[in-house]
Amino acid sequence: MEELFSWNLNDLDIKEMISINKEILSLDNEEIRNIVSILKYINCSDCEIRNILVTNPNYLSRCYSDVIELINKFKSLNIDDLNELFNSNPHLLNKDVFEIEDYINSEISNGKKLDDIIDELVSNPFIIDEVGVL
Amino acid sequence: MLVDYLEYMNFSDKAINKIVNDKSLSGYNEKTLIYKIVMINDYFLSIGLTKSNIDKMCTYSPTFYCLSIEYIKNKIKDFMDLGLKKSEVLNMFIMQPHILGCSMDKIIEKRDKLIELGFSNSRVKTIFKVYPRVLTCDIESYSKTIDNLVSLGYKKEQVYKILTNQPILFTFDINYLKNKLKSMESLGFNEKQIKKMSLTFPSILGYSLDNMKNKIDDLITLGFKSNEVIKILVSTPHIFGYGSDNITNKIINLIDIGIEEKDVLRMIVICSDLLSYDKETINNKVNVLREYFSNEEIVSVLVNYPNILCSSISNILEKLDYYINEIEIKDYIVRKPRNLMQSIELTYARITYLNELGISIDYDNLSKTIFLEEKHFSKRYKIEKEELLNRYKYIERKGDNNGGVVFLELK
Repeated sequence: MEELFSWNLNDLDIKEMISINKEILSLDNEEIRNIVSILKYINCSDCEIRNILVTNPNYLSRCYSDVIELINKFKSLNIDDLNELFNSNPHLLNKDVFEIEDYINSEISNGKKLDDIIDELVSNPFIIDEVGVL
Repeated sequence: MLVDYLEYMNFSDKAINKIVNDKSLSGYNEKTLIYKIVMINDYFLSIGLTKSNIDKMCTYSPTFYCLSIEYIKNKIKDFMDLGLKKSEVLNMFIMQPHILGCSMDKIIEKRDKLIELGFSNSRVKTIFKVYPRVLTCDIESYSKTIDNLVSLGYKKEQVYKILTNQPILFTFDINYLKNKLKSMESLGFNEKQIKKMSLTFPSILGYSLDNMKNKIDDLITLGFKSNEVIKILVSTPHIFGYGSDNITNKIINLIDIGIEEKDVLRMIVICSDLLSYDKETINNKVNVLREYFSNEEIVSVLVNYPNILCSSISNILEKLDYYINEIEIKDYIVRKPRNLMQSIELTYARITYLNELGISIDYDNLSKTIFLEEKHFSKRYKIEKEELLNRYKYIERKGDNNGGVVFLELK
């Protein structure tokens, strides 16, 4: 857990993160380093990583392979600025690939084109959670 | 005499019954047994256990009264040598006093087995702390449990996570789990959603179907539609563990800010994590907003951008300070709070670049300039984001000392 302090998180941040995700207490430094390394891989700056971790502490408990699958899914949709996308809505990192696919399929069945769906997702990273609500 | 003495020591009837009928203690004469009980109780009290803790241990198994104080001291030290804190070790004894009598060689063998199976040392410690009964399980059951969960479709990496959070599953029957996962479909979840929820919040595997159904009914009673309830619970299955009063109070807290109930419900559907935060945390963040906005403006910001409440206070402060105090676009932010999603670094770089190009930025063209979608911005202004961020670094500006550059001249 000490690894978290290397991301410029203060005691208050970490306390709040633990109140949301108690599993953080059982993560070792290597697990944290591995899951954060994915954020570095998609070019997140230190500032973006900090924001993602504080805003979405549950990300730290995600399985490495599940996040990699999610990243690959977004890349297959030609979304390049993943750091910007996840920095805008860090909770997107909690999605599973099936949720992205379900959303896209649902929008396609509503008559939208894939390119438009992707454009909407990039310009509004909250759209998956808003569909059918607004 | 023994029973009288135990009553005098305020043991519960259940604990007294256990002590009197414990086979391992039956070999002692009453006087010796009372002496051992007094000595061990005094020792436990001296290291921080309470009478209630000792009573609880006795109701599980009072066999530890056979042990010597020296043995117990060594056992605590041995567990601490495994990386556990003294308070954690004592808590394990309270939950599972049997482990006081376990051989340390066997315990180390079990720890090594879990590590060999792929658990990190940190996860093994958590498993022991959360559910010390694992130490009394047959060592072969460890790999069997992992295989069982893999046979249900979980990846090994997911299995480690599930078992760390819910080590009681080491004692569950595979058919029980299979039936539990299947039965959850009757609540309206599909297979993938169930797997996701069980991974995010493995405790649900221990919840009864009735308990889960009641939670769904509670949310519907609060005004959510069935499909919204499914969405909320898939995103934040921890809500299954919240009491109805807890959820209601969090909703009332948001209504008390001045947000209409229908909007509060909508905000929660969009951002179910809002229910994860306690009232104090939400109020602290709202108080930060109060430093920049009127109450009416706060309501507008929250309704249009509920996720702002999931950002850290430092992040909210940093953004508001920049967008409201530094570049002074408060009215625009109130109208379109989602622009707060855009990083300060990008906004700064765009403003500086557009200023260099001599392009005027004003309130009417903010959505066509600094808040333009990236693909349109790069096309219109012929610069890629990466180059923009490399060329105009916000951090460098912070270091300059030119007495307040005007970054945005609003007309």
